Formats: sequence, structure tokens, C-alpha cells
Amino acid sequence: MNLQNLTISQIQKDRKANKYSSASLTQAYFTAIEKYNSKLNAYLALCKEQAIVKARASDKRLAPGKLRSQLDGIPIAIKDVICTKGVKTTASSNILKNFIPPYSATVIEKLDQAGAVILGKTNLDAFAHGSSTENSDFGVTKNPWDMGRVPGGSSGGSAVVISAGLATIALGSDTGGSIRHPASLCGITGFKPTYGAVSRYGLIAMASSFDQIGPMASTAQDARILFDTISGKDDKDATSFDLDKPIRQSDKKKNFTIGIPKEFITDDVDPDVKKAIENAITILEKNGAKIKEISLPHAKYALAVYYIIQTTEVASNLARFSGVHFGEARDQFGQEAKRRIMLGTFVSSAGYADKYYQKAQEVRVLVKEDFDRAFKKVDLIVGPVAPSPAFKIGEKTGDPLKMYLSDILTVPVNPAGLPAISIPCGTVERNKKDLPVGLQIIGPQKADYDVLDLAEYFQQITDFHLLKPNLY
Amino acid sequence: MSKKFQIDHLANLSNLKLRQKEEKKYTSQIVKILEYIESLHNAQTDNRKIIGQIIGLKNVWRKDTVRESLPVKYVLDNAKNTHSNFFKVGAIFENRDN
Repeated sequence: MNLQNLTISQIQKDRKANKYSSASLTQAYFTAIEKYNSKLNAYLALCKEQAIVKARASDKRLAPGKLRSQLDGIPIAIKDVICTKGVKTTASSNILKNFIPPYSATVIEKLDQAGAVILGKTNLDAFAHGSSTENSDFGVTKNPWDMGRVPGGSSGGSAVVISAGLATIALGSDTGGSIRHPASLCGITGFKPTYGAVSRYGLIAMASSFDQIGPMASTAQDARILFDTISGKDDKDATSFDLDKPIRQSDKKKNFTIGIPKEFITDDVDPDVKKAIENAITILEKNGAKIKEISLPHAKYALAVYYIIQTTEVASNLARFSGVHFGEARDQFGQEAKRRIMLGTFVSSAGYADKYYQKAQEVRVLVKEDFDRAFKKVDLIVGPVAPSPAFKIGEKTGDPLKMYLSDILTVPVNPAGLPAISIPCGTVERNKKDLPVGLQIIGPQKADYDVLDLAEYFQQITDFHLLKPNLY
Repeated sequence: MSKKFQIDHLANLSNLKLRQKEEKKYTSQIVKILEYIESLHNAQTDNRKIIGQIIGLKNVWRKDTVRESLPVKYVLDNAKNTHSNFFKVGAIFENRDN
């Protein structure tokens, strides 16, 4: 069985045709995980027994036509920063190396109700601080396209399991690009919803005004199904809300007016990546989209805004790790967490808060207003996700600022609370290996379904999303 | 840019203990990051009103109903030091070193 391009609808069709059961599919994934995970280091923990029990229960519901949802019996991987009751949740940090949550995140409860089968927990940069998974206390995850390169981050483990065919779908979280960046570097689809569209209850907090859980999958259609399941208002997260589900207007998809921000296609973007993005834009234009150049003049400040507000929120959120209620002592924090805690403490401290924190909050408004103005002229914005394809392991670890700059094209979305997706749009060759490139589609707040519509449409007219690394 | 912070003071405020080697490294890294962040001051904000909630949600309420809490045993399960139904913490009115 080729596990690499399996989709939700294909699996449900195959199960109904008795080609295989959810239990045998789940077993096939575990066999593949056993074979490849030692090299990739994508999964930190597996839920074998539970998964088989849940898959068998789903198979029993199949025959009488009592499947609970489209996700019933579908194998899913969970980023290890999302709490799973009774299953170790580490945030890839030594501080939580023995932490077993007494409750599940709301998204996990929803997946359980939908009948999804959780295969295991995936690796990330500790506390989601990073763009490469190199900050994990449990070892780097390797990019299946080239084992010498990083998968991106922080949701690197979740991106790799989709790319390598070690799960059908996965959950990630995105604070400054942590879903979209690894999705781009691993050649999969990764969607960051509007801030608040998905409950954050049970997500180990990084920067609470930016954090958002979202789907990672082989196709935009699968991302949509997963998003439908996990989204919605939750009493346990006061920032969550119900998104109106639009009646799908399939014709509208082709006629979007798309803005290309000139600030996103600069000399800092790798020329081959630029070529792939321009090619994707041409494809969209040929297929009915109207293309307009736009300007986001304050986007260049977004990374600075982000590294003030985010680190301030990190310093506050990580203050609770005292080793008293749970977890190890604070000396177990890794380098990146320490750096962010101290930076955040400084920029919000008496005497400096006005100069840094307050100023960043003011510039955050300018970043948002740029997008507001742009979305008066265009429906969606399109550009690159990352300035370069997957970089080599160790290439940026010595220079934190260089690592932070990997997120320069994904970060502007988060301070503005917007939905955005990364979808594959081709590959570039490096050292005789193909490396994927992601196309970013950004929408106005609450236009999550427009973003997904365009992504789905692009995947109907192209085959880039079917390209997978050659593991088998 | 001249250094505006004492790293040992910053570590103390952050409730972190650094080794001497780390102090040097973090100082130079944080200085470099702050240099980058300084670019913000080129943006004209005219004391713009900041946004409290980016989606614009206001007055978020939930029904005032009593919900079951987690059993105490579960809550204490991850703690290293407990005493009957309590977390055990270090004394705060004494010298920590005692």
C-alpha cells in the first residue's frame, strides 16, 4: 500500500469497497513508522494500543453506516505541544519530559468525538520556538527530501509524517509561521486559520495573542475537513469564535482578485523560489484569477514587532514553569527558551516597555492596517512562504537572528490575526536533490474558506501537491 | 548600540541561572537582536491607539454554571512534592539557601 498520497476521501472509499480496514491501515502506518522513524525522528511517542482499539471500533461502525464523521477511522498525528490526556506531552522540552496531562485539549476531544485515530505525538522546536526543529531537546527531525536538511519548524515532525506517509493528516500550531514554514519545506499543505477560529485550550502556550492550532495534510481538501472538525467557539478559550460556514460557490473560486505584495518578492528571496512562485501566479492568472500588484509598506517591521510581543508573551507564559505544579526545574530550559524569556523580560521591563513593547503594539496596528487597505482592493494575497528551500542542518544554529529571518514572510500574518495556507508549487534542485517550494495564500480575517477554496482550486489545476520524497 | 542591560540582572528578573560562559553569549546575541528591533523606530505611529483583541471580540461571557473540576488526585499527579491534598512549595520568608 502506498501511504504517501492517501487522502481522507480515498481511504473512506477504499474502506467501503473492503480494500482495507482502518485497523489494517493503522497497522500499515505503524509498520512504516517502525521502518523510517529512527532515521527521520518525526514521532516522539506512539499510541499503538489505543490506536488499534479505536480503529477497530471505527471499522465496526462502518458496516451499519454509522461512521461519526468523515474523519472516523482516519489516522492522525498530533504535534507534541497539544495536551493529550494520559499520553505524555513534552513540547519537545526536557522541562516536560515526564509530563502526562490530566486533560485533553479541546481539539483532541473533538477528534475523539469524530472517531479519528491518533497515531502518536510529533517532534517540534522546544515550546515551538524555532524554524527548523533543531531546538528540540529530543533531537532534530530530518527532511525526507534530503536527510541532511531541516524540515522547517516549529511543526517539523507533523510536516514530515505527512510528507513521508507516516500519517494521513496532522495537527500543528502556528505562532509566526510554524505550520506554513515546515509545510513549505516538506512539500505538504499546512493551514493557519484566523486567530480564534480554533480553540487554543490545551495548547501549551507560546505567545497567546498569536498562537493558533491548524491542520496539516496532503491536500487542501483534507485540511478543510480537519479544519471543519476542530474549529468553533469553545467556552474554555474566550478568544475563540464560530466561523460562518459559507455555502460553497464553486464558480467564484476562479474569479478571485489576487494581490501580489511587492515587499514579498525581493532580492532576499532565493531566485529559484521566486521563479516557482511566479510560475504559480501565471497559472492562476491563466485560469481566471485577476492579478494586481499591491504594497504592504509596514510588513518589513512585522518581524521586529513579533520579536518584541512574542518574547514578552513567552516570558509571561513560561513563568509558570517553576517545577512546583508539574515539570522539572527552570534550569532544564533550552537555550532558545532562555534567550526568549530574557529578551521578553527586557523589552517589557520598567523603563523600556514604552520604547519597545508599547511601540511594537502601535506598529502592530500599522501592519494590520496595511492588510485592511490591501483587502479593499483584492480578495486574497499570494506570495512565497519561505525565502529559501530547506536549509542544511546546523546552517543557522549559531546565529539566532539568521534563524528568525527564516520567518520573515510568514510572520506578518500573525500580528494581524489572518488566515493563511502553504501549498506546494514546485521544486528546486540543490545538490542533485529536489526540494519543495510552498506558495502562501493569505486572506482577510474570517475568510478562511476563501483561502481554502483557492488552495483547493490550485490543486485541481496542478499536480505539485502529489510530488513526494522518494522513501519507498 | 551600547548595552542597556546587565545580563545577570536580566537573568535574575527572568528567574534563570546562567553560567558565566552563557552570560557572554546571551549578551552579544541579545544586543544583536535588539539592534535589528531598533528599526521599529523608523515607523511613524503617531501614538496610534493599540488594539486589545485582534479579531475585535468584546465582552465575552459564558453561562454562569458550575462545572466539574478535575479530581485533586489528577491535579497533583505531575507534582514532585505534595503533602496530603496540597502542593508543597519552598518557604518564601526564609533565605532560600537555608
